[in-house]
Amino acid sequence: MKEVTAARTADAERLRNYLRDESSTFYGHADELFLPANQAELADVVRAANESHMLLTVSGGGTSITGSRVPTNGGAVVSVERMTSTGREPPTGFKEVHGAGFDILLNAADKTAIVPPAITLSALDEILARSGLLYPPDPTEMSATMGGTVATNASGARSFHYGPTRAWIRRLRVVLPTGEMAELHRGEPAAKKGTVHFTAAGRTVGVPLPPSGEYDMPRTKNAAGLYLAPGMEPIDLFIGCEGLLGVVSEVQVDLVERPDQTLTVVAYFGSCDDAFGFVDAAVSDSLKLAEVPHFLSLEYFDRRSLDFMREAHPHIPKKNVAAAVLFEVPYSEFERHNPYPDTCMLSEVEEALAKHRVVSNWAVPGARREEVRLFRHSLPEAVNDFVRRRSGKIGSDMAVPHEQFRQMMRAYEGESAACGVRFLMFGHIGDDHIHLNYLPENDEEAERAKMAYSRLAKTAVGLGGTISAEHGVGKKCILGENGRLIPYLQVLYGVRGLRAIARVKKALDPNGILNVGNMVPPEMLT
Amino acid sequence: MDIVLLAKFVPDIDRIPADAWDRERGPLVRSRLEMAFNPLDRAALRMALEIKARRTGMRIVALSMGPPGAKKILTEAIAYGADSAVLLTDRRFAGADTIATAYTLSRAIKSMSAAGIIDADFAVLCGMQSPDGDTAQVPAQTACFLDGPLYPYVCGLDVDEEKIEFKCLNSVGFQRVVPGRGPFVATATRLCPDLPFYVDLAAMRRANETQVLVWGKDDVELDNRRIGLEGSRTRVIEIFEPQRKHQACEVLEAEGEDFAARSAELLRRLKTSFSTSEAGGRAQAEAEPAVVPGRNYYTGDCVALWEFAGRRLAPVSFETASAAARMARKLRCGSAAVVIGPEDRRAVEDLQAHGAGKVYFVEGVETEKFRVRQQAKAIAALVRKLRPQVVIVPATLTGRVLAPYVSAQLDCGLTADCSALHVADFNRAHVRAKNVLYQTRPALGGNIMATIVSIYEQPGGGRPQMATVRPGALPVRKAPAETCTVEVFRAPELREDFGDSIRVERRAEEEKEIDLEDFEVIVCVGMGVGDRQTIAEVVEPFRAALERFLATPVGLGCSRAIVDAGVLPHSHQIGQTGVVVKPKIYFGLGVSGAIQHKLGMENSRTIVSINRDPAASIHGFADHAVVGEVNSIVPRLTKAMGGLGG
Repeated sequence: MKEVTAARTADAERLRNYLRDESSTFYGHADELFLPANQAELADVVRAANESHMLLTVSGGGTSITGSRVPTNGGAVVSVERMTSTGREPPTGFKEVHGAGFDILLNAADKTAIVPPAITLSALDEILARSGLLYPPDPTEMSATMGGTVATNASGARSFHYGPTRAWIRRLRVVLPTGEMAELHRGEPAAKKGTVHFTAAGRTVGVPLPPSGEYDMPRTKNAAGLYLAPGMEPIDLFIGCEGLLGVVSEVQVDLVERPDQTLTVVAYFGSCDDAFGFVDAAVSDSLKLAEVPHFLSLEYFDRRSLDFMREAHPHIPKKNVAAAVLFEVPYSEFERHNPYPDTCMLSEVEEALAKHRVVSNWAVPGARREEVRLFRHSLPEAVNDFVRRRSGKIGSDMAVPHEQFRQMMRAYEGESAACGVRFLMFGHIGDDHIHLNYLPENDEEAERAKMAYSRLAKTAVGLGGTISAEHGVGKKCILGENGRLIPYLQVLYGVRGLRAIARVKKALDPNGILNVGNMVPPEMLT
Repeated sequence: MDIVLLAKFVPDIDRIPADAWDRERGPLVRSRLEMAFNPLDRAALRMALEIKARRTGMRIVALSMGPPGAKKILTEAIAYGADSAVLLTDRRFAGADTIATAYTLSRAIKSMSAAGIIDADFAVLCGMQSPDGDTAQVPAQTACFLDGPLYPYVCGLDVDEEKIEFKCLNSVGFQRVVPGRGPFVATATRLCPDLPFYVDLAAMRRANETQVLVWGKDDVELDNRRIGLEGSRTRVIEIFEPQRKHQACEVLEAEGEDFAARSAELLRRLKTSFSTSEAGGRAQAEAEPAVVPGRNYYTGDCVALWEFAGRRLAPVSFETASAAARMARKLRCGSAAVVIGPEDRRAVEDLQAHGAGKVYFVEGVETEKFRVRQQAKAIAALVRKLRPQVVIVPATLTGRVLAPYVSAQLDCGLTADCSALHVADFNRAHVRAKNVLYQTRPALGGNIMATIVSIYEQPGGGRPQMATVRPGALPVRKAPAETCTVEVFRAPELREDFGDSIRVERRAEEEKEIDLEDFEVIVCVGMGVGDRQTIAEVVEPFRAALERFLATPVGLGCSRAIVDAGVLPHSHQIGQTGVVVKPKIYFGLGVSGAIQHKLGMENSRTIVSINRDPAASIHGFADHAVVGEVNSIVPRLTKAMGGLGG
């Protein structure tokens, strides 16, 4: 590749860290690593790669579990880690704020911030906390970078109330696969006549959208595949594109005022039906709570999950408990120096739970949020500890429309009982998004679990759901009809849908250089 | 009987926000720290609740002295099950040191009793210390002002309808204490379980509906000259950032592909540094400014308290004695040693060798059972007689609670856990004091250092300057005194009729004593790997391979939990209640690095930690951290050493 201004290295030791991600299932290889320090250097690297037809994989925080940042097809890696500042003067109304090794441009009055792609969510949160502001999307992994979360449309527990990353992006700057810069604003003219238009480097770029019926996005929380829909705004092409269409070089986000305090309640129910009934009421607002402004999150733990967590939290009740729902509600200090919500709100929540025959409850005030985090984390930790000594785990990420939720739960139970592999279920029940995890004891069980998983994915799609509500697609595959592996996304969109994505990809990346291997197989791009 | 639960509102030092460090204004901005319920006080509350569950009609009343915001933790205490709470808050209490705080608390407790908020027969429960001061002084001083016994270091509780039994740590193992009538003070250690992080919604409601009593100075009957800044016997004169002894910890991930190569490189480097370096230990000799001639602010001798460990003098005693002798030479006064127990020839020789010109044996107190009040009263009586200017006490399990009880008896200032002592003039705020003791200690979990002096309106007035000294922090110097006189001090008759009973459980006599201090390389096992099988199959082969590899004997150490579990004898225990070591290389296998253990090994020259938790506290001061499962890494290292040759 020709001369570029960005720092570069071919040192195997340095490169080693960029060849895998948190999944520990995908491993790649690369010849060179580029470390641009600003947007111009980034654009320069992409342009040079395009000119020399060099495969280029973008790396953010490396927290993906889908292999999306792993260079499985070789080529070079470009990491945005040195882009810790936007590198430009604050526009009117903005001021530069430093913290945790990053610089952002903040406009507190207008509740918006311009941030560099390398900033981690935890760093951004630390900076914003000082101004009493919040960037609402809360992907569980706070060491993820802003660039990475935009590229994957990341979400988390509080997406129940706030929605995923997509809802909070006001403006994006991206480097297209050709090396040209594009700037996209929320609210820009929508797609017309099957084509979505935007401007890059002075020219108008048109992207063909799939004809209707070829690519129907599920009406659920979704992180699978490109966002392609009639009447869409161009900015949505790039949010959740897993790097296929461009590299995020600058992000302007919307902010809200930080909730004063958050009350976390863990409600233990005697039957799953009681738990689902409570969630139903909370989601549909039929609880009619006058004192509770809204639920920030609604999370589910089945009996088997609670069994796993009991080692770290021996006080989790055992008798007559079939499931637990953890939820968060915001509250304000009602009298000076009292850590708890006022009595009206507490009574109201108690009554709502009693209506659904709650067995017992744990309530935690805002100040002890760290313990709540540890409580939640004790599950994945116990599960990972368990699978480390066995044959790995097979975890689902499906979500279905709310009306279909109980049917999907029945399918999970039925399929899992039939395949006879140990399993557990937990997750974002407010979004009808439950993670089913199989914990096979041996390879033979793992095969059975994979088949059950594959059948369940089809069931979810059949119910109008998605196969991935938050993890994304990356380089994942799934067992197909004939027992062979097929691209993961094919279950949701079929081969026609994959071709639609490939068409969009080719329109913006004619040489097929950027993040090849994500979503669609490389051979579809030639 | 009722229970008073002391609850302190403290900075949360486990979660210091990055922006609390302000390089321009000072080392740590306290106002930016989040405040929380002292974790050890929470553990004490849990004990109180367990006791209450077995007693009808018992009340628990939480008491806190602090800013108005401390009401938060009192409300929490009520939610967890306390019956009521009192908040002592008044600007006039501000600036109180431990002695003024303990005085105020004890007066408030008496007022609570007088007002019928608590029974005349009551117990005081609290944590052994708080993370901001780490001094462990207030409980002992409060016990002294209530003139009751102190049962420190509770690590277990056995309670039924008939009796309460505390299992307490002491220097020979444990003692089981069945308290009699109140008032008494018992303090919880880290070994006591914490409260759960949750209550239920109904408990929160109950807390909202229970009023926290707020008392100011005028609600409590007390002596105005003994509260707040005026009632304090110590002055903090400087706060500074601790010298970071360490380069950043070098981390080696066991999951990395080239782990074999990188671990071999680490072993090679350790071997090179082991064979080329001579001096072990990081403790630095202090540079002391010359003493200015003239009339000193304080007069009298320098006295060091000595402590037995089994039948020998504890090694830390040599540090306090050397410090007292050094100070005495500068101040041109005598240096004396005080030993609790019967006269002992061998001890006198040791003491003289380290510079003691006089030795006092204190007789007439129990030495088998650790009765803090009795020992403290005897020492206070001796100090009143000797009128020394400096009293140095080792900051051991015993010394850390004895010294504050003595200081409250004498009404003198006390600084805990000093890591440096020196003599200099004090000249500020219209006070000129010649040749006073500058006492430097870590605070806020070691995040800041504070230098403290004891200055009164009237010079000394027969009161000493008291400090406890961190084991391992001060140099030992053999400088024999020319002569040494021995005197036996008979403690005054003291009634200890509190109706309590104490049963000592000595650790089993050991077949083989090892002197861990003598080893230049130590392998230490922590909780994670402390079972017999792992020690035999994983740790021993590693230790043996290390001996061959470095061609030197390698000692086996452990943390307290391993000894308590009966896996290794006490002579292997490193830490506050074990030995203090300063090897050239220390290997921690599954050692988390809790403060009690850290105190015993932080002066090792090179610290290597093998631990699965990358955030283990030992990685904050280790030189090398190998992150991964001990059971898989250690055998690999053992094998690697075989390959690298001896």
